[in-house]
Amino acid sequence: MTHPLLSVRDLHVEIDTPRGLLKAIRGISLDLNAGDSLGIVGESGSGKSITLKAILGLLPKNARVTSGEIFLDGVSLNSLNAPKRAELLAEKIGIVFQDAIAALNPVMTVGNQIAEVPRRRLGWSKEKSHQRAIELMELVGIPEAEARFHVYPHQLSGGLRQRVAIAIALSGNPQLIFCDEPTTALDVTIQAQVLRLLMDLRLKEKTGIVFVTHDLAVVNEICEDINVMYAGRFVESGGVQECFQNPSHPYAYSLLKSAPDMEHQVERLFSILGEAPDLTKAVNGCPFAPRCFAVTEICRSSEPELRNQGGPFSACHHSSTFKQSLGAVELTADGGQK
Amino acid sequence: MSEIILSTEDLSKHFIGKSSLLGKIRGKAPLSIPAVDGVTIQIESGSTVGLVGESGCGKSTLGRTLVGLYPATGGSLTLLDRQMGIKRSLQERRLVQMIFQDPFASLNPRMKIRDMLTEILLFHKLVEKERVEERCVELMNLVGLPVNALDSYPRQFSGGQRQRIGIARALALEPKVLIADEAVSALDVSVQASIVNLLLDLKRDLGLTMLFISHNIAIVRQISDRIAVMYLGRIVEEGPTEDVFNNPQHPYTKLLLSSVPKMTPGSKLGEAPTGELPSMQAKYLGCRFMSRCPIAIDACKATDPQLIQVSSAGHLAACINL
Ligand SMILES: Nc1ncnc2c1ncn2[C@@H]1O[C@H](COP(=O)(O)OP(=O)(O)OP(=O)(O)O)[C@@H](O)[C@H]1O
Ligand SMILES: Nc1ncnc2c1ncn2[C@@H]1O[C@H](COP(=O)(O)OP(=O)(O)OP(=O)(O)O)[C@@H](O)[C@H]1O
Ligand code: SF4
Ligand SMILES: [Mg+2]
Ligand SMILES: [Mg+2]
Repeated sequence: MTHPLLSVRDLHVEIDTPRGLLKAIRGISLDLNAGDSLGIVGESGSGKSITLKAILGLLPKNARVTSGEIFLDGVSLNSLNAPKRAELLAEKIGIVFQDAIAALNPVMTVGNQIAEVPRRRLGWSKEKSHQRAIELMELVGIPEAEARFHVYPHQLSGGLRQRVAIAIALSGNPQLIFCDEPTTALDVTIQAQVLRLLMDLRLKEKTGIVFVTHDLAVVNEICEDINVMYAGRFVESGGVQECFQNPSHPYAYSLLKSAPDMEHQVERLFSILGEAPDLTKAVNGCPFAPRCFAVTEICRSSEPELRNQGGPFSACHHSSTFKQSLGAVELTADGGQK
Repeated sequence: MSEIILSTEDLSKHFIGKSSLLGKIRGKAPLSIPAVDGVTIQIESGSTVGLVGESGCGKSTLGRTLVGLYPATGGSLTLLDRQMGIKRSLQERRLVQMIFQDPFASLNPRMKIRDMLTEILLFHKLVEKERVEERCVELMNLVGLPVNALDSYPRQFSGGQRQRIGIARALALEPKVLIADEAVSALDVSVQASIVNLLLDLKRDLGLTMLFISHNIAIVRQISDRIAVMYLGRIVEEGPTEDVFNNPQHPYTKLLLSSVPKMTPGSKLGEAPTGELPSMQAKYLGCRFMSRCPIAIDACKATDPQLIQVSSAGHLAACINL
C-alpha cells in the first residue's frame, strides 16, 4: 500500500506561558509526498514555527504535543522510542531555519560540517564523506567548492553561508526539507538564488519542501500548495494558483489583498484591523470573527472546520458567499474595514 | 515643476575605523569605509522618493546624514535653500525627522505617550502651554490611535501601534521632510499595509516630503513617486517609479527587479547573478558594479560612470554602456 511520505493527523500543541496555558496548535493535519512543495503562511504568532518544531520533535521545554499522530514513511512516530524517533526524523527530514547561519559551528571548516552527517550517521569513510560534501557544495552552487571545503563560516558571505546551511540539511539525503523563513535575512538577489536552488532540488531529486514564510510572492514562485494558518489552525488549504485566484476564506482573501505586488501600484492597500485572539483563553466561534468583514451570528457561536466546500478547502461558514459582503467594505477609506 | 526642498551635491559620509597598533606604528592611515560616496540627488517638495539597494549599500547612512545624525564628510547638503553646516540649528533639526524600523528603541519606556509628546512640543516651543493637550489629541487622530493611548506606556502597544506612535512623535515637530528607514519592515503584512496607507494619507494631507528607505521593493513601488537605486555608496539609477519599474536601465537595477518574487501566476524568478559581491573598502576607479555586471567592457574598469539622463525625462542612470 502506498502511504504519504509525511502524514500529520489532528495535531494539538500546548505551551505553558506566564499568562496561562496556550493552545498554540489546535488540530492540524497535512499529507506530503515526494516532490511536493507546500507553503505555510499566516501572521506572526499563528503557530507556523511551532507546527514544524512539533513534527520534528524540537519543541521548547515548556511545550508539548497533547494529541494527534505523525506518520513518517508510514511509521507512527508515537510507536518509536525517543532515540529511534530522532534517528528516523534526521534521516528523512532536513532543516533550514532562519537562524541556520548562526547554527553553523564557527571553529569547524564548512566542508567538515557538511561531511559530518554522512560520516557519523551513514558510517561512510572519511574520503567518501569528503567527496560527498564537495558534491553537495557544488549542488547548492558554492563556487570553487574544493578550495572552500577548508574555509570557516566567517570567511563566507551571508548568501554562501546560507548555502552551506542548506548543504548540511541535504547531507543526510533527506526526502523532505523544512524551511522556516530561510531567506528573510537575505538580500533579494541572494534570496532568488536560494529559492531557485530549492526549486531545482524538488525537480531533480524529488525532495519535498515545506516553506514557512510571510511573503506570499515567495510562495507563488516556489510552491504548488499552500496552507493559510490562523490562530493555531489551517483555515484555507489548496493549490497556490487556485487559492490566489479564488481564496475561500476571508482571512486568506484579506491577506492576499494586503500583500503589495511588485508588479502593480495600487491606490491603497487592503488592511486587516484588530488582532488575533489570545489562545490562552477558550475560542468560541470562528477565531477570525472579530476582524471579519463577512461575520454573521453563526460565526460567533460555532467554530468552522476545515473542509471541502468546492474550491480550496476552507474553515469558514460562508466560504462560497463571503465575497458578496465585500462591496460595501471596499469603499471605506482604509481599503478595509473601519 | 515644484520646488526642490532637499538636495545634495556629491555628498559623502566615510566612517573612519580604528587602525591597529601595528598600523599606527607603521604610520598607516586608519581604515575608511565610504558608506555614502558621492550622492547627488534632488527631492521635490511633496514627493516621496523610495530608496532601495542591498544590505550595506549605505541607505541608512544616507538617511542619517540627511537628518543630521551623522556629519557629512564631503559634498554639500541643501535644505530649503540653506546649505547645512556641521551643526544645525534647533529649527533646522526639526524640519527633517526620521522614523525607524523599531520605534520602541527610540521611545522612553518610563514615559507615558502624553508626557513624551508634551516634552517635545514645549522644548521646541511649538504650541502654547494651554494648547498642548489639544495638540496631543490632534496627533493621535492624525496617526489613527484612540485618544486614551496618550495615557499608556510604549510597551502597552502592538508593533503597528508603536510605529504609529513613532510617527506621531516625528509629526509633533511639524517636519517638512520625513525619512522612513525600514519603517514597516518588521511588521506583519496586514499591519504593514495599514501603516503604508497612513503614510500615504499624511503625505497627501500635510504635504509631507518623504524618503522611504526599504529593502521591500513591492512596498516601495506602492508608496513612491520616484525611485533611487543605491549600490555601494552611490545612486546608480533614479527616476519616476513607473519608468524605473517598467524600463529599468542600469544592469544592477535589472538584476534587482528580476530577483524580486512576484504575485503573477506562473512567474519564474529571473536569472542568477554571477560574480562576487564587491567590498565597500576597496578603492574604485571605474564602475563599482563591474564584478557582477553581465555587460561590462574594459572601459568600465577605468571610467567612473556618472548619472546621466536615459530613456525619458528625469530618468537617470550611471552606466557607460547605456
Ligand atoms: N518558547 C515559547 N514559550 C512560550 N510561548 C511560545 C514559545 N514559542 C512560541 N510561543 C507562542 O506560540 C504561538 C505560536 O508561535 P510560533 O512561533 O509558531 O508563531 P509563528 O507563526 O511561527 O510566528 P512568526 O511568523 O512570528 O515566526 C505564539 O503565540 C507564540 O507566542
Ligand atoms: N556607525 C558606523 N560605523 C562604521 N561603519 C558603519 C557605521 N554605520 C554603517 N557602517 C557601514 O557602512 C556601510 C553602509 O551601512 P548602512 O547601514 O548605511 O547600509 P544599509 O544600506 O542601510 O544596509 P541595510 O539594508 O542592511 O540596513 C556598511 O558597510 C556598514 O557596515
Ligand atoms: S558601467 Fe560598466 S560595469 Fe558599470 S554597470 Fe555599466 S556596464 Fe556594468
Ligand atoms: Mg515562526
Ligand atoms: Mg539600513
